[in-house]
Amino acid sequence: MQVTKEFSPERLKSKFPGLVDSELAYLDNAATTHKPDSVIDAIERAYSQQYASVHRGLFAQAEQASELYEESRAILAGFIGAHTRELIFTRSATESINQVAQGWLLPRLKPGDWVWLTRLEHHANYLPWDRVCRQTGAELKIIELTEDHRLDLLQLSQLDDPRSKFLTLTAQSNVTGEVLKLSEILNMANAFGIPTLVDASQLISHQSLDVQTLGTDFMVFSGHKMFGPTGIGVLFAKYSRQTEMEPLLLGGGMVDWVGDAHTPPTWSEAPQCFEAGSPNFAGALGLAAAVKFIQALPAQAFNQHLKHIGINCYQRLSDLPGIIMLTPKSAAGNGIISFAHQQVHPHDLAQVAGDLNVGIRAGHHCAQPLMQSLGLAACARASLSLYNTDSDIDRLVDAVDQATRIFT
Amino acid sequence: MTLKSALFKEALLDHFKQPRNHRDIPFDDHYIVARGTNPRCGDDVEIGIRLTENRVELAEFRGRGCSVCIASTSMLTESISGNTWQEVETLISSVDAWFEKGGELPATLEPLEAVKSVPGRKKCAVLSWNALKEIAEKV
Repeated sequence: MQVTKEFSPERLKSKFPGLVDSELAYLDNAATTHKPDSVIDAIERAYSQQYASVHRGLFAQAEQASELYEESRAILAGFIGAHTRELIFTRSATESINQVAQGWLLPRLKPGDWVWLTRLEHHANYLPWDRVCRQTGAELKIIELTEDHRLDLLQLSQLDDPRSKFLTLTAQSNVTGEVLKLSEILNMANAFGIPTLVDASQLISHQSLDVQTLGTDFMVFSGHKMFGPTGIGVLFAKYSRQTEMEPLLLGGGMVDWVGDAHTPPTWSEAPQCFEAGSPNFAGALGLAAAVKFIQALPAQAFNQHLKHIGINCYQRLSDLPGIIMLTPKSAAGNGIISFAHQQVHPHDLAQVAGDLNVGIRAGHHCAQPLMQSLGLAACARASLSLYNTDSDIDRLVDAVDQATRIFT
Repeated sequence: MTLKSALFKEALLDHFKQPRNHRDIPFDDHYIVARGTNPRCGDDVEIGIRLTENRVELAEFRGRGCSVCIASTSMLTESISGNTWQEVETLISSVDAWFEKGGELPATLEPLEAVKSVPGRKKCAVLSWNALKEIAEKV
């Protein structure tokens, strides 16, 4: 296989204990990535050596835990070019989006307003907006796809309307793999005065995103798709928007004053007012370790590698009889390859692949509005990352070939 | 590389590739009909039975789905054809018990045993049996 001098997937794989002695060709990275030993070590150290309650204790170890938690916030903020106070830790990208939908947009919508999103959205970036529209009588508007499954940029001119009150969009589709032209789209939205949210969950592991350069109001991502732990996510909220936002979750750690029924409570300063409950200490430290892991990678070589195996995967699969490619050819190099077989059900494809120790995903990928637009109930998806090789692609192609022979 | 699971053994594949009692045209009013769908994966089958003097004269199905769904539905129609309705209800109970806690399956349904080792596919197998339960409520 083609390996650049500075990038060796085999050497990188040796840093992932969950994969190193495994026979599994792990091709489900869009669902969740494996964790490098530096992340696992950070979590282990957090619990075994550094553990204490964050922002609550006055003894030395508790003070240190608070400092480490805030250092992690600073690392995450630096990673996306945000100010530290604009960086909120949540449980997930899903929680982050719900926080914005209910805590910021809901009180600003009225009947007849438009909330825009794209046909590519994951349910996490669809349902919270669908709900605020139902709650207020606003209308959910969808930017549709071209015939070859790419976002139809020509439709963006529809945003130019006084009824347009918000635009939310994924940075990379978890099904088609398309990476959207974020700058172009966000510039247009900004020119029309429309606040925006970017769901960066799929893209952030392999492309740096700077919120200042992008000019977005909100950006969200989860830890577990970027080599970090499960159970932690991030919400970036631009300072001016953050001051307008009401906390979604109420409880300990987010309030300064709780009086009686006649005195309204006073929320703590941001970001603490958006982090009700005991903070996810080990999760934050693990996620900060994941950021350091990504920052230490040779970014350009990583992207070249992803492009190489993505295009190889696309070409090899599209050469097989009966295969329908759902990922546009132009997006193959982004590492998410979705496909279907004319006769073999995706669950059967994935089952045979699983029996051959090739881990792919089959289903609607939490993107039913997209699947309906593609005219399918389900499809198969291979999603690649830095530790995948051409040998994994060989095994996938063999599995699809075997499934075809079994079922046709 | 070789396949590990028994899921795609010959008997189950035989029902998938050559489904028994399969039809393309819609059921008419002579049939008692129920449908099982799973929007998560697109499995969608409709079962129709014709009863004569409390006996299943005809059991047929139409629709599409994965191999497990189609094979399970094909076996269902085969295993109830010609049975009295009491026998069908006994079969439904024993399949229910098998899905819930294991046990023995009637010989005609033995290929379904393979599904046990793949819990994720249980929904595919159970779909048509749930439709049959709906029919039972209409009988």
